[in-house]
Amino acid sequence: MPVIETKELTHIYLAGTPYEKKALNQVSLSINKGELFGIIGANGSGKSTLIQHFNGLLTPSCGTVRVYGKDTANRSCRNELWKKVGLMFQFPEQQLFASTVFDELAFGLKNMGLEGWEIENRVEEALLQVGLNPKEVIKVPPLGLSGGARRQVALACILAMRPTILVLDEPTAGVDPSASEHILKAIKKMQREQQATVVMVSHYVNDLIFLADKLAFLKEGRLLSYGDKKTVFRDMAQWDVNDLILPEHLKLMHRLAAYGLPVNTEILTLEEAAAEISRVMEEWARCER
Amino acid sequence: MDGRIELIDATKEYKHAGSPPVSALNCVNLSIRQDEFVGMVGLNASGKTTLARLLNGLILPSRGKVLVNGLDTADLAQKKEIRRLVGMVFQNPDNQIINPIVEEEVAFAAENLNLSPAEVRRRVDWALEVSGLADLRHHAPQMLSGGQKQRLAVAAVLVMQPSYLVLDEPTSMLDEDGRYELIKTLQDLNRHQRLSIIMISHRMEEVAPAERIIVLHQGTVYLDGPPAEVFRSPRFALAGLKPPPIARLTNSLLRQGHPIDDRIVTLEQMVEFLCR
Repeated sequence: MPVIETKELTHIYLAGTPYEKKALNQVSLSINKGELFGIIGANGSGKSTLIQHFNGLLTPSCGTVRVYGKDTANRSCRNELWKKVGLMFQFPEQQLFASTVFDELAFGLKNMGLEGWEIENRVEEALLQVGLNPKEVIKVPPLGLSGGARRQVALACILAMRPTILVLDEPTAGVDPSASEHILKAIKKMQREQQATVVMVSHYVNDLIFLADKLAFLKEGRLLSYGDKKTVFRDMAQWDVNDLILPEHLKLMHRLAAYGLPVNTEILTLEEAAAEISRVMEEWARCER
Repeated sequence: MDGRIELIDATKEYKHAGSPPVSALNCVNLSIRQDEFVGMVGLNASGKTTLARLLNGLILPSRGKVLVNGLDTADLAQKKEIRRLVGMVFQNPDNQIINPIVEEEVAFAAENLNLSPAEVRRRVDWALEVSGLADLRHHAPQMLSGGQKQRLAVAAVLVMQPSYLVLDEPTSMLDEDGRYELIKTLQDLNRHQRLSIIMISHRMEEVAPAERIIVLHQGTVYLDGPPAEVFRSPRFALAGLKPPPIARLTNSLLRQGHPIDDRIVTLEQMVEFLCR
């Protein structure tokens, strides 16, 4: 059952001015309940614009967006929408403002009308979910934490509100590998254990290759491919994808194939790439003998 | 004048009210030559950003010294020259772009150096050209993509013709094209203008083309050497880091007994080796 559905969604920024820019062009897609849906695209492809439609922060210039069957352009549904759809912006740690990590997480919960022990429980649970030790960080000012830990706190703020749809804009951009791993784990766990629907935008294709159930590929505001991973990767080969961050071993295989080396390019892991190169080198050694 | 940045027993502590001082860097001794391309890696909180900020006197060491071409960063009289010599580009370009038009942003620093209008114009044209922004010079920075904004931040620093360029995770917001162009620009500047590049990154494939890699761990210099040696060191994993995919491929092929050059760490090197 689709929980998010867009029909011919078009978004134009600053319409009618010299700066007018069509960021999305007739995008139609549907995202099912419990799916981890990855959106791949380069800078300027419309990824961020698209996901800001999912909780009604932006509304379409043309077309419709329905979340749980309700039109996001309908203002009377906004409050309900914001509770159900947790949106994490790019570089969310820049929005941290409270004097302690606890206050930071409690802020949203108080606004939801929660009190006392319920807040404490949820704060602790959310911090554990993102891989932070509540005892260590709860009284620390968020700005006293390292960049990666701040990102983890920002994610915890959203998880604490227990959204049923989690929308993440480049959740791992600019954090170190260990924080990135904690963040991806928390996201996957949330999807598995709470049957949450997760929409994740990234230009690190690596993050999505293993994590996502379905992918969408955006380029210059158009949805060029969407569906299961293999379909999307196959379709992507037809387009210029130099502007995406593909894992280096995949790029290597494409380059080697382009040079005419007999390597199989339909691989996903580094081990498969090593096996392919090893096979080719063994053949060379045999020929020399 | 000595063309190098030197850290001598540099220690930096941060003090928070009510808690004991936290040491971000501990007795670091380093020397970076004026023509080097250095990659700096380490987990968050390993001291990378603190070290970067010490290099041009944005912060001063709690103990020890930082010398830029022999000038002490603690000497207020030298601050202006040190800031010109050591240019900084940060993670998020939005935090350092202040002008409403691209070319004004680039001209800003040059104008403050008291140069003639003709010289300002010449430097602005050059900086925009090498940063690939010549076509966007009349645009508003807020209308640029993340990658274009970061190249603008670089151009705005280049215009001061620094000897050292320190970049703190400059590619974290860039797409592949922007990243490739930025790194290529940095390599060209390093080779042709003898500009020293000191680049912090979390992505090992980005620092692999550098001639030297410094690994920071818990506020100390944990490893320092050529990329292939650093990636292969057991200490690299102990610092919580993972070598770039190509270095791992090379190691895997070496283990299987293939005759492969053990210095291969980048995509270009691997393609050249296999397709020569």
